[in-house]
Amino acid sequence: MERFLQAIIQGLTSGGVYALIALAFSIVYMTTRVINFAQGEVMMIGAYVYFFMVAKSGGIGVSWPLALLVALVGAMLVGLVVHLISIAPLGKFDPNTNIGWILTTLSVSLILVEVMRNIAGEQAKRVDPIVSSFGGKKTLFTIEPKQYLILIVGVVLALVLEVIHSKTQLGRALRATAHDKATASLMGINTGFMVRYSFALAGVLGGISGWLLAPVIFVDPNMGTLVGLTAFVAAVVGGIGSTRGALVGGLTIGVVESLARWAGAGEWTSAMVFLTLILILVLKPTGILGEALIEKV
Amino acid sequence: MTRRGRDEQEPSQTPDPIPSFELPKRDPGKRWQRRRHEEQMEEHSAGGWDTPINRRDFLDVARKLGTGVAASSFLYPAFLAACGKTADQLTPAPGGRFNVEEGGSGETINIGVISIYSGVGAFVGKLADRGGQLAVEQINKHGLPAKGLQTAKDGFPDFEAYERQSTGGILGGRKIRLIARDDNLSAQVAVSAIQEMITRFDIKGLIFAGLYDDIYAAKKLLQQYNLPAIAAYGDLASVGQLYPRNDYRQLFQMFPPDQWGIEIMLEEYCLRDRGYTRFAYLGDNTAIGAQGKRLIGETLARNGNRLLAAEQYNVGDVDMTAQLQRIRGTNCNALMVWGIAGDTAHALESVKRLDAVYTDHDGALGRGGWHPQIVGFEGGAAERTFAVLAGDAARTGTMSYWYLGGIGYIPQFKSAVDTFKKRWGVAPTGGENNPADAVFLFARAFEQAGGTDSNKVIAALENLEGGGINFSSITPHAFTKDRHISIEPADMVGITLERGKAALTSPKYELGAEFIGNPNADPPIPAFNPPGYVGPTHFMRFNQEALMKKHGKLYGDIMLKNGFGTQCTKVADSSAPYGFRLTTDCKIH
Repeated sequence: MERFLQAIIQGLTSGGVYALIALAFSIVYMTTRVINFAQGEVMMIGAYVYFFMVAKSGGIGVSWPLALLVALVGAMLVGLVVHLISIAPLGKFDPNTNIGWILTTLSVSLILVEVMRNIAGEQAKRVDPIVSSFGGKKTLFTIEPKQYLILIVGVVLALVLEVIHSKTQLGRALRATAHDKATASLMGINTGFMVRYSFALAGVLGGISGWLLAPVIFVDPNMGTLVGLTAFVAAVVGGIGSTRGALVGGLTIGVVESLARWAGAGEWTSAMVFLTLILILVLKPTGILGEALIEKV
Repeated sequence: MTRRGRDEQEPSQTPDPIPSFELPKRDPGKRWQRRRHEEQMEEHSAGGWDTPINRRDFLDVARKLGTGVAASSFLYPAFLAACGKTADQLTPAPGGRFNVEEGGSGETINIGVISIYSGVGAFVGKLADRGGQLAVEQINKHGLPAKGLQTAKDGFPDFEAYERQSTGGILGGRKIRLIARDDNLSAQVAVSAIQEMITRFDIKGLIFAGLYDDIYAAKKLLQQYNLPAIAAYGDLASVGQLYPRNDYRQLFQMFPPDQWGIEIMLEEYCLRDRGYTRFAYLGDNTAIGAQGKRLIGETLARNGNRLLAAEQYNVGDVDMTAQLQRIRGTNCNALMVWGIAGDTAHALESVKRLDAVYTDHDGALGRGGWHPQIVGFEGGAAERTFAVLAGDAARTGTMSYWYLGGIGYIPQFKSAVDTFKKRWGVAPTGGENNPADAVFLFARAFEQAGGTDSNKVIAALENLEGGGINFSSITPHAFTKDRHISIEPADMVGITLERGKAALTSPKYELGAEFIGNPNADPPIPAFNPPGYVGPTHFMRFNQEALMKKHGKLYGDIMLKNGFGTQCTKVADSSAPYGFRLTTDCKIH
């Protein structure tokens, strides 16, 4: 029972990162109806910026809060650049019938990997965590503080974003843009700004994910690929476009992975994740907390 | 929504401007104007009117652009290749980049390299690149070492004399070029890349420096093209796939077989030296892990023992806590970790999470909880990358194996190390010597064969004049017709991890001269590794008899006498060759 509980907590902690990236997927999807397949790489860039800022050997060696700040700004800018390169040139289009965005976002993700590979090299980098003990105790349920931090930050950020998006003018504007861009525009909402805002916010979330994940998985140019893909699955499982869904989806996928390892099926973790996706889509095609879009004619 | 509209509709049917609650401004700003303009264009387009930039056309172009960008990302390296350029001479990437040398007189001879250049095993590609590329540059600039140069300095190579050689290239000035490809941790990718290197670049030799799976998957292809190949990293011997045990005469191996490494580590070290009785295994899902598990099981069975638990992880996995929790139930003394560095570093982090890091010999025997000694695959536990990534989770005393190959820290190889540092800006970390000597082996074989004819090159590799190649390694690499592996069990050594300072033990634990220097030597030997250096070093206790017999001068007169290799606990013994012996009383290893 103790191990089962450990596996659940373990899954929730790793699910925290999936939730953060799934949030980023959802926010971009809300305003553009596209999936930013470069989101994992935005996270990777955030992790690299943090590493180069904070590392004493091979980096600048500043304090971690400053390094984090720079990483967030860097990731936000990369998020905007992704929009500028992969989405903006497509102009106004129907993402359901025109699939150019799949290729452009995917291309940008490959370019970002190549860029970092050439700048930083292939070899993985180690990043020390900002917290390494709970008052002298190194683990709780065999889980380190750096892993709990992921869960805490993930949940808190999801809740904060939920409040922002439901209670503030900015959030209402975002939801209005998500619901009907043309009408939102007629209502005086600068939908272009909202799209850019969503990419910038997704960039910041990517930066936070990179910062949280860097001490857990080593920083390397490919770190965002698999995590990004799994987070995309999490976003779909939770209900793409839903803040709460992203959180639920991320945590669900994290727990599924962890339980697969707990059950001695470690080599089947990816299969289990995709099986979960299929099951959810069969049972509830819009995802756990997703809502079907009803088009009024 | 169709073009039909423009021809059929009258201009008067042009839709009215979009109604907006925003009042038209007397002097509208640019942003407002642009938005209005976009909305009008969109509306016109929806009504079938052509607009200055038709939405459909624009999306078509965008789609093509997207396809182009995606395609160029995938084909970028090939594009560069077609232009005869390179994106990065040091780090080949998926799809393949390649290293370019200026062509000399005559046709350039291409040698292929298949290695791991991305993901958790990227450090392997770095070793292959640095070793192989430096060898190519040396050969293209100085040619092959003149006769007798390899042993000119009291049995060791004369590197200064070699660098004074002014005739570059082989076969009358032909240059060598390396074509490097990433296996992407996939044997299928490796086979495709090899096929491409054969058909597109007409490679005359191939160096394996990636996954074991690559060699197993590609051996039929090599046979089909009769292409000679050397496994700089990769093990065919342990699975009985090395000629003459089968008919793949094209394949040669200079990598220490896992079987030998496992035998000396388990039989000599774990069972006899340390007295361990309980063993468990944690390995990856590649051929490296599968082969390790099989060989460990067989070796233990021969000794009346068995694996108490065997767990697997996927390459790229981060958390192995669940597997280790099951292993913890066995209370094993030694945990055999079989995978490549990066993954093994994560495994050790998981060990740390369970508060089970190795402390010392007593701890491994179970006094004070579960703290097994880590015994690992050489590509996972004898790597500096592993030590750096795992941090303090990888403790002094982590054991692995290698062969008495490239020992950079002995004075006799200082010039070679200086050349390496000058070229790459860093000291070799270990293992670079294999791809380097593979290049020298091919170059010597081409020269001896008088060309690149496959049959003649293979025959030359089987009978290299001058006793083989030991220009980057300490022991010569040579093959015969009946022996396609260039090393012997007597070359095997143990590797242990050191963290740049002596562990606190009683009796006193001593680091080797490569860490602390030796002022008593004549001339005094400065420390080779910088303060705080973390990395693997040669540990000289097990296989000692065989080493002394085959490498008496190197192992005895140079290493033991001057205190190279981890010294651990030295005990005065007048009957021993140098007045001391390395005792098994060592607390760490």
